[in-house]
Amino acid sequence: MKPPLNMLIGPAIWGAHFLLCYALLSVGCALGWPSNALRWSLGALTALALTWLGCRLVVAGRSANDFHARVGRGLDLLALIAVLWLGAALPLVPAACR
Amino acid sequence: MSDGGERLRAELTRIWGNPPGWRALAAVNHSAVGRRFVVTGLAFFAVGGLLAMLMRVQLAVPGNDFIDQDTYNALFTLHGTTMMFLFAVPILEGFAVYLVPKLIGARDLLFPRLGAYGYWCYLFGGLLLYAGVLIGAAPDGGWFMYPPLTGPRYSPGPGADFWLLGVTLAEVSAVTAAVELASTILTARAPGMTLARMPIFAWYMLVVAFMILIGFPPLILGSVLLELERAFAMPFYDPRLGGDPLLWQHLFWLFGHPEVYIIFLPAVGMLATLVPVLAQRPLASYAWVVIAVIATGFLSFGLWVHHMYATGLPYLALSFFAAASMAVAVPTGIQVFTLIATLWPARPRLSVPMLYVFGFLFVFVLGGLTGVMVALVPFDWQAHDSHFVVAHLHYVLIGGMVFPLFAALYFWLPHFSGRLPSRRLGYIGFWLLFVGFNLTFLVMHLAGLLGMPRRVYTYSANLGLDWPNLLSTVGSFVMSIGVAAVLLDLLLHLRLGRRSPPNPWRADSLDWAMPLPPPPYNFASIPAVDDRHPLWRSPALAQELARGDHYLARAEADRRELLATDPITARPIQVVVVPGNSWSPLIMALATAAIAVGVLLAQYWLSALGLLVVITVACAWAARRPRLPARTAAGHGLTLPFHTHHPRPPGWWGTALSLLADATIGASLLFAYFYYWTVNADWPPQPPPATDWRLPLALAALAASSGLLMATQRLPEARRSAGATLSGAAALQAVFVGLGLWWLTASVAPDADAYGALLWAIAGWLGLHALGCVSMAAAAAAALARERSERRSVLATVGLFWHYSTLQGLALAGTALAFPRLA
Repeated sequence: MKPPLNMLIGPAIWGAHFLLCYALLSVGCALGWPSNALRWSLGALTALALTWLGCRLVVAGRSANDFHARVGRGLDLLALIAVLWLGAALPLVPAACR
Repeated sequence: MSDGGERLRAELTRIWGNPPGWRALAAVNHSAVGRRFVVTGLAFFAVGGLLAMLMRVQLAVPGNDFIDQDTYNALFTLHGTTMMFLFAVPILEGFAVYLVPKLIGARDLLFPRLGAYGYWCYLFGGLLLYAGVLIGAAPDGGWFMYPPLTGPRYSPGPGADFWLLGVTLAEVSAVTAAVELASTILTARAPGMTLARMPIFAWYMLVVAFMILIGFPPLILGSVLLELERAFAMPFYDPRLGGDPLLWQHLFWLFGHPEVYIIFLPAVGMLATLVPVLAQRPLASYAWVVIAVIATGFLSFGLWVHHMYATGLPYLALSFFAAASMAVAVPTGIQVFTLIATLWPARPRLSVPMLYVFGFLFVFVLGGLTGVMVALVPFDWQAHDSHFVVAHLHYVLIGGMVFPLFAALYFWLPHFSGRLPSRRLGYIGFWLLFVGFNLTFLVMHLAGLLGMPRRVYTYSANLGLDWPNLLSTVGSFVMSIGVAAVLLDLLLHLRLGRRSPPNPWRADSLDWAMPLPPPPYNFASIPAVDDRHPLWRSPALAQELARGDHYLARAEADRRELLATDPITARPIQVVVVPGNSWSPLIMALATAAIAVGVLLAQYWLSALGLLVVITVACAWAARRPRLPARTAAGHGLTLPFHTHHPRPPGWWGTALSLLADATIGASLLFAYFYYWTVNADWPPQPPPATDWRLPLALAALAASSGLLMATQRLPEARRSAGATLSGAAALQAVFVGLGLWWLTASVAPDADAYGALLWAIAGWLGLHALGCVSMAAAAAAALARERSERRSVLATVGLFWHYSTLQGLALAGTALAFPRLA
């Protein structure tokens, strides 16, 4: 994606992760998948999103420092926090489908 | 110019001015439309406030019989509906419509007739809702109108229909405003005003416009489905036939939570504009505010289920939404802290707007804190449907919207009227409002925690609820007197206010680089900008602009001209001619209202007639393009094409942005399909209908029509006979509709079950698109018959809508018909 639209990739990763997690959980619960399998798939999705966002932040730290790049980095950071927050629920909430 | 630009300004006034007397109803200028929104919004605010006062009187003492239960139900329904749909959203849109072009150095919005149409839709929507009240059919199902309470069985009267149709009309206006605000912010900024130099309010409104385009359509769809269930027994929300009332809650809150931020962000955007001026220093961190606004825009779409914690969704799903609800506190905090940091080293005078800024900080932060409390699932279960939630939402909405709105009203009042309000009345109004508000709602938290339920018209004595309720009622009267003082101040200042000097606040932005009140054309010439604070950098800019020293300093051939720039680099790329005053927006809005009234009265011929008029007017708008030469001189040695000769004319942007809203409706229909699939053990409830030769052929005709149009766009030979190929493509659309409808009527009944109803809803949606394609083809053919050199520009816009419609049609029909056979 070309600048400045690429600065929206971070929040878009958050959005895709959020939507996929919610959809996977809803479908999994509707079809009666085992709770642990669900939890691990959601964890894998979260790890993937966190890695992607983390890499973006590391790479961006070495790139241009114009306005769009700065806004993109800030958005990546906020997206990372939001994904982390959702991920924190996975080990904390006992039964997935109840 | 030797006369200091006087002749130029006189000519521009003649070209851009509003007609006098009652013919001013035909005015389309953004200042006029913006003012109408603001004044109408304030009127609805007063009405909504009076309704609240009646409720507070009823609740003042236990066992009160001032009003009965049914009236109380209607009161809280109307109060919420009025404040959210007829006050908060429209008045902020009005501010944006008024301010955005002035802030970004434009003479008008790109689609003035669309803006005027939006205003009339809003007014007629509000009047329709209150017409129901006057004939004794007030809606009483709560402002979020949950079925089954609002379905045909439990709300048989027309009250719910008045709500659904009136509110949908008002929502149309939000969507039209979003389309024109976003396209104007993207493409009509002053030369040199890159994204990094945009006034912060333009960033806020850009994000909000996208949020409206994605957030409002789900509710429009939800309302249409509920109305279809009420009018034609299509069981979308009826669990006996495969429907589900929770689908409404999803669609409503998919809109409803972003809506809170759609209200909050423009309000804070105005504060982020006026606080730096009051502090006389730049915003503490422009980049972080931009980051926070964009992040809020995204995160606000991950919160909707926090209104549905008590509906029995899986715990883990609830915790996802709790996580997002807490995460959104981070960007919100960034915005609040930036305002504080901007004020911290400054010593701002305690002017009336400044008082409201402090009011905002105090009240909104408290509301935000209780917001984090109710974002926690276990706490919410305790507080759900109690007055604690009522107190929380008033802290957020009044703190986050009304206080900033009043700050903005007082700040820009000299702009609206050219006069200054009374300082004393302003102070009195603020303190009454502030003290009254906190008395009413701080105590209400306690009433809620003590067990006072929401939406119950009375309570027994000796529950400990007597004194908190009485205090709240007393507070609400104090608050109302405060609001009355503010409204009185606004009225009186029009007569008694002193004339304002130019730029009375010593502001930095282009909206003050004009005489007060502003002339209808805003700028006699368009400035080039190389800084975020053009007026602080060159204080004499207003005089230079008025003299005509900058771009487009001309008044030619009675044309209303704008300078359009590249969305990213802000280099001038085209001169756009926008339409002048016209009755067509009013006619179109009357026809739109007729569609709603036709449904209400079950006189469907009236709805069909309304639709026909809407389409005819839209076609006339598209077909009657001004005849313009290919290129023109824009000043300072710059030669630019007119928009009719540019491959990306404003119409392309408007269409692209409208399609975003359109796609959200398509996606919501898909969501509905898969939602039904997850909640029903058997989905579809009956085996899906057999597909014979008609259906594949219909879809093939749809694809072929797009192929034919694409060939017309790509191949020079085909482009030369564009009229003929457009007719061919339109004929293929007709084949698609004819065959599809033939198959559908023979195969599925719309009231058989939720699947059949959904198939019919999808078919209706695709049919509307086919109608749109055919109408656009007709308008394009008419335009091209007059002026052939503009083929590329016209076909680009038609193609955008057409190919999108085809893709959406194939995706929706394909999913709804193929998925039952796969899963």
